[in-house]
Amino acid sequence: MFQSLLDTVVQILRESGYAAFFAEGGYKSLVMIGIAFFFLYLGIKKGFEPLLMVPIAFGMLLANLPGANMGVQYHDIPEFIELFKAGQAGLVDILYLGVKAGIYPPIIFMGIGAMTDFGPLIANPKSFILGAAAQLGIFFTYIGATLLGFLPNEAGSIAIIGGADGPTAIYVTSKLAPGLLGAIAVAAYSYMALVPVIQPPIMRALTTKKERSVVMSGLRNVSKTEKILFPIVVTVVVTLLLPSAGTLVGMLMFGNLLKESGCTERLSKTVQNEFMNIVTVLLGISVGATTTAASFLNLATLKIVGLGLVAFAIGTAGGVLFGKLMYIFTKGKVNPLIGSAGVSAVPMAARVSQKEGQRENPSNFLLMHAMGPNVSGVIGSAVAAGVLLTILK
Amino acid sequence: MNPMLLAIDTALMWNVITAGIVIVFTVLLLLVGIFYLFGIVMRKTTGKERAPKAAKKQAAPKAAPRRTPAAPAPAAPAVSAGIPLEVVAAISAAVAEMQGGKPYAIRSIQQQPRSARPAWAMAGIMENTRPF
Repeated sequence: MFQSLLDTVVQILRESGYAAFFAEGGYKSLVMIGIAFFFLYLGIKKGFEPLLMVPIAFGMLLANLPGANMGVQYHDIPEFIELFKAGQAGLVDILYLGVKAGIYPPIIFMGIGAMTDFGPLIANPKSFILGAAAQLGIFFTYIGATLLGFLPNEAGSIAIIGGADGPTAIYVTSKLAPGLLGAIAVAAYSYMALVPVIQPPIMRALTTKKERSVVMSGLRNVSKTEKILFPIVVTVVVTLLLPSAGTLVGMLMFGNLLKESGCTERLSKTVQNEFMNIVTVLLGISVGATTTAASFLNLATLKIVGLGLVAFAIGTAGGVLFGKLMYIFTKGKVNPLIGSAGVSAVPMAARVSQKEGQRENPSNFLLMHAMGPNVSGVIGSAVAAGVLLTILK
Repeated sequence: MNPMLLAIDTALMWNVITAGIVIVFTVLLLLVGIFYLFGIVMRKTTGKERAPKAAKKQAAPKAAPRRTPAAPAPAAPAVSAGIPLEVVAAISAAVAEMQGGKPYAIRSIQQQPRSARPAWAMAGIMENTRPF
């Protein structure tokens, strides 16, 4: 009887996840669990985009616990159908369908739209130019990714990190290079959290003390009619010109219309709170579950992390340099620091512009001026995503 | 790597970069133009609306002395007994806010008999059922 009990215990231990750590390549799972702990630490303790970092890190942890089969097992829908038919599709596989089918990111965009005030952009439409300039990081990083040996679709997915917009990066990558989704999502959200560290040195290096001290005049009041018409006009203009950007831009603007129309307050509240939170949880955990050791522990991840930093830096520099151009053309009326807010990362990038402006002149308030390029950057990155999808898909 | 493949990738790379930058700037510049014009139209429209009102306001003080040397003081509203003056002030302020600058007069403030359902509960039900 004792021997039988011992055999059963040994059998259970042999089939347990602990034993898998000692199998061939099992150490990789341990490394990934360590990385998941690190990202949990960054999210919980250091406040690195915790609303997404914590679900992503926990998804990463689940995916790398040997034997639990909590990792995403497929890259495209036909593969999922095969898994489903075989009865092997797990919970995370089903949740990941929302990413793969391009459902979660546009819903999050809808929530962002419902939370965004486009008033500063409507009051100063020139801010659109700064939002476009900050997308330069995307296209210059595409060169770097191509030269480092990535395929065009992979290079496009990596480059979109420069848009500093998590849902856009996930949306584009799920369409173009799903195999890189975990690494790109982690890189994108890590750098978004690091905006206050990455941007200031670039902003200071590219501007003079005189430029940073410019106090901008107040923005005009924007009427309710303008705020209601803005999402409708942007949706029509952008989607007709670039249909592939329609999903992201359309949902962003739909969310904004719910906010601004004044007659759909309950829908607006749901979209920007409960609905968005539910989708954020599903998105985070299923994206995290794509980071299995095989897909994450390789040289490509290191390259992606490096290229993501380059993309952010070039995007910031592009925005600041165009801000300098506007400073020259307006004869010193535009503070170039607001250009860096053109990388999306709402509202973190605008706060960085405000903080840097106040370093030079404590009575300077650039926040509302920086919000224009900041929200323009969201539209710009969605348009850039549409371009990449059109050319590379 | 196959030189042919390299050539194709390079062509694609430049295509992505040039097309990307040109399209992003074109779309956003188009939006700059649209909303710049939009702003002009809106300013003119609201300016026209404001101008007659401002003209009326400026004209009113000039015309007033010819008709009546002094406007009669508005009569105080009839207030039911038991309503504190603070409540009267709060109701007056709320009415003034809702009127948005339009002329108004509060003639009386009367306490209604309490209904079976409190006013706040009724407001909550209205808010939750109105769309359906």
